[in-house]
Amino acid sequence: MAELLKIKDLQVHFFTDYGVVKAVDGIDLTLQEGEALGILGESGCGKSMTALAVMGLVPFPGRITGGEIIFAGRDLCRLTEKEMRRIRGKEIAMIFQDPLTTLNPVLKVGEQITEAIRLHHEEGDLSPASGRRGFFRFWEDRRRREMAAWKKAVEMMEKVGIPSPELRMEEYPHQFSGGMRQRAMIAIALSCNPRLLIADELTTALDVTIQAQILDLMRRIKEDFRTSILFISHDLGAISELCDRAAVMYAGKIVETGSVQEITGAPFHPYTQGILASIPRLGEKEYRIKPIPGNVPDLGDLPAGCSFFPRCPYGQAKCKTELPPLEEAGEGRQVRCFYWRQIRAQREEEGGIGGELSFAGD
Amino acid sequence: MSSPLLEIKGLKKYFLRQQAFWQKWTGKKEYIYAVDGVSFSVNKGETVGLVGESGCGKSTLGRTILRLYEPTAGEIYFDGEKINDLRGDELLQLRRRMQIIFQDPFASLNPRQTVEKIIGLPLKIQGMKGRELSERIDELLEQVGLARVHRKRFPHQFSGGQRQRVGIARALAVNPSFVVADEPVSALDVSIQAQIINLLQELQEKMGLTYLFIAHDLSVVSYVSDRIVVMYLGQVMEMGPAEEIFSSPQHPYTKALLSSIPRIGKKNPSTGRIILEGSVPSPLNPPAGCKFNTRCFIKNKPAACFHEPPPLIEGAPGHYAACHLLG
Repeated sequence: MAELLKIKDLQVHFFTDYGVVKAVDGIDLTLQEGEALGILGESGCGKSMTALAVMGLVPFPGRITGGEIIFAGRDLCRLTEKEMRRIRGKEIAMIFQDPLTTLNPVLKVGEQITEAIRLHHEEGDLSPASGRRGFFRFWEDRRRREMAAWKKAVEMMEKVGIPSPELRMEEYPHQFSGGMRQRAMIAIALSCNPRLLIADELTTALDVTIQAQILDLMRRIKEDFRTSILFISHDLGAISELCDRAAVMYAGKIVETGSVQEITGAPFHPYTQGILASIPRLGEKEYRIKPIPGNVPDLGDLPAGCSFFPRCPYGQAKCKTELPPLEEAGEGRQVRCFYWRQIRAQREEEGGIGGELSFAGD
Repeated sequence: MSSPLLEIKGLKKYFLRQQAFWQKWTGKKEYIYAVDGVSFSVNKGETVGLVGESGCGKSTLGRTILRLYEPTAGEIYFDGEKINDLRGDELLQLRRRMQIIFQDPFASLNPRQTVEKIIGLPLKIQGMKGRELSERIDELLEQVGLARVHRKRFPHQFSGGQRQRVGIARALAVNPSFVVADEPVSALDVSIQAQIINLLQELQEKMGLTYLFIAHDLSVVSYVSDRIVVMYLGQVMEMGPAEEIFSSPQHPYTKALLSSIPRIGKKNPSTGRIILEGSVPSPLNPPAGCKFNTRCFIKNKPAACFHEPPPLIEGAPGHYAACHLLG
C-alpha cells in the first residue's frame, strides 16, 4: 500500500492575547491508501485542529507554525490558496461534527450537493457538449451540465441510503432528521470521489441506533470506494468499530499509536490505560471504573516535561522535567512514555490489562 | 423489598403545539405526545436508569415527576403522598426532598453568579441564613470534591467536570432524598465522566439517595442502575433488573438498542448486529398500535401490532415488556 498522507512534526499554534496556545504540538502521522485511521482524544487535545490543518482551514488567530503535511507527494503547507482550493473538496473532503450548523439552512440539500459536483468536475466530465452551434450553445451546455450534476447528486444520495432521493433533493436541511443530515453531509463529501475523507466527530451528535447506521455506512464506503478515512472521535467504541489503526492524542501530542486491537487490548501508555479503565463495561456490574484524577492541562501553560505527568499514576521525577520521545514499541506501534516497558511488565504481573482482554459481547 | 419512594401511574404529558393565529378559529389543535402513559415505581435507595433515544420523552418524564411541568394526566406519589396538586408552601416543602441535576453544566449555571451564590440560593429559599449558610456551603463543596477557594469563583473559571460538581452541590444543598439526574455525564469527557459517576455513587452511599438516572449512553446506565426502564416515543417498552435487561432483553427495541452499541476490541463488530432502519417517528403524530411498529425488524408481524398498543406483560418476576409477540 502506498502512503497517502504523511504528517511530519506538525505544529499549530494560536497567538492569543494571553500567550501562545500550542493546540497541535509536533505530530507525526501516516495514513496508507485505503486505510482508516482513528484519532482518539478528549476535548481540547488538538484532534480537530490536526484535521483542519490538513484541510488548510486553521482559523485565526491560529497558524501552522512548523512541519509538513505531505498528501500524495505534495506539501499542503506550501500550496497557495488557489491550489489548495482545487484539492479541498475534490481530493480531501471533510465531514464536520454538527450537520445542522454546516449545512446552509436556506439552500435546498440538492443544491448543496450539486454545488460540490459542479465546482470540481471539469466541463466535459459531467456531460458531453451539446453539439449545438450558434447563439444558444452556452445556455444549452450549462443546462446539460446542471442536469448531469443533479443526476449525479441523486445517485450519491441513493448511495448513502437516503430514501426517495429525488424528493429529498428539493427539501431544506431542517426537514431532515439528524441521521439524514449526516448522510447528506457524507454525500457531499463523497460526491467528488475524494482520496481522503476526514470525519470529525461524525457520530457524536447521533443516537445509538442512528450511530450504528452511520458507522455501517462508513464501513461500506471504505470498502466500496476504497477511500482512506481519518476518523476523529472521543469515542473509543466508534473508532474500534471502523478503524484499522488508531492514534491517541493528549494535550496536542500523540501519546500512542498502534492497531486498534493493540490499543484497546493492551495499551502501553498510562493515559490510554486510564481511558480504557474509565469506560463502564456493558453488563459487567462487578467491574469498577477507575477515573483519571485531575483535569486536562491548559494548552497555553503546559508543564515542562510529560504533559500527562500531573495525572499519571506512574510519574517519576524524570517525567516532570523531560519530555519523553515517541518510542518505537513493536511493529507500527509507538509510545510516548519513559517507563512503558516497566509499566507493561507490572501490569502483566498484576494480570490486569495485557494480552487478550475480554469485553462485553465478545 | 423496600417500599416505593416514588410511584407514577399512567403519567401523561402532552405539549400543545404552537398555533398560527388563524388556528384559534379553526379550532385545530396539535399535541406533542411527549410522555404517553408511563407507570413505574422507584424504591428507596435504588437507582433506576431511564434510557431511550433523543426525543423519546425521558427528560420530560423526569421533569414532570418533579412537577417542573404540570402533568396532563396520571398520578405521581412521592413517599405515599399524591403530589399532583400541591401548591405554594407544600410544593416548596416537596422541592426540599426531590432535586434535579441538569445535563449541560454550561447552560444550567448562572454565568453572573459566584459558586457561593449558586449553591446558596436553594438554602436561602428554604430559610437558611448567616453563619449556618456559610458553613453549609463549605460542607457541600467539600462533599463534591471542590475546595473553599472555589467559593468566590464564577462558572466560566471551571472546567466541565468541576461545573457539574457545582450542579451536584446545588442539587444536594437541601438534603433531598430523591434526585433526578438528567444526563449528568453526557457532556463530559470519558475520564471526567468516570469521576462524576463515582462521585454520584459515593454520595448515594453516604446520604442514602435515590436516583432516577436519565441517559442515552447504555454502558453508563448499565453501570449505575439497579433497574432499567427503556422508553420509546413516550412509552415504556421494557423494564426490569439491569442485569436481566442486558443479558436477556425481551423487547425487539431493547435488542436493537443493545446490539447497536459500538463494542471495544471486538473482532467482527458487524456480525449479528441489528441495524434499525429509519429514525424515530415524530411525537406529533405517533404510529397507531405499537409505537415501535415502523422500525420493528421482525417480519410477519401480527395485525395487532398496527392496531392495539401492547400491554406491559411481566415475563419474569419484575421484568416487564410491551410486545404482542411476547404474550
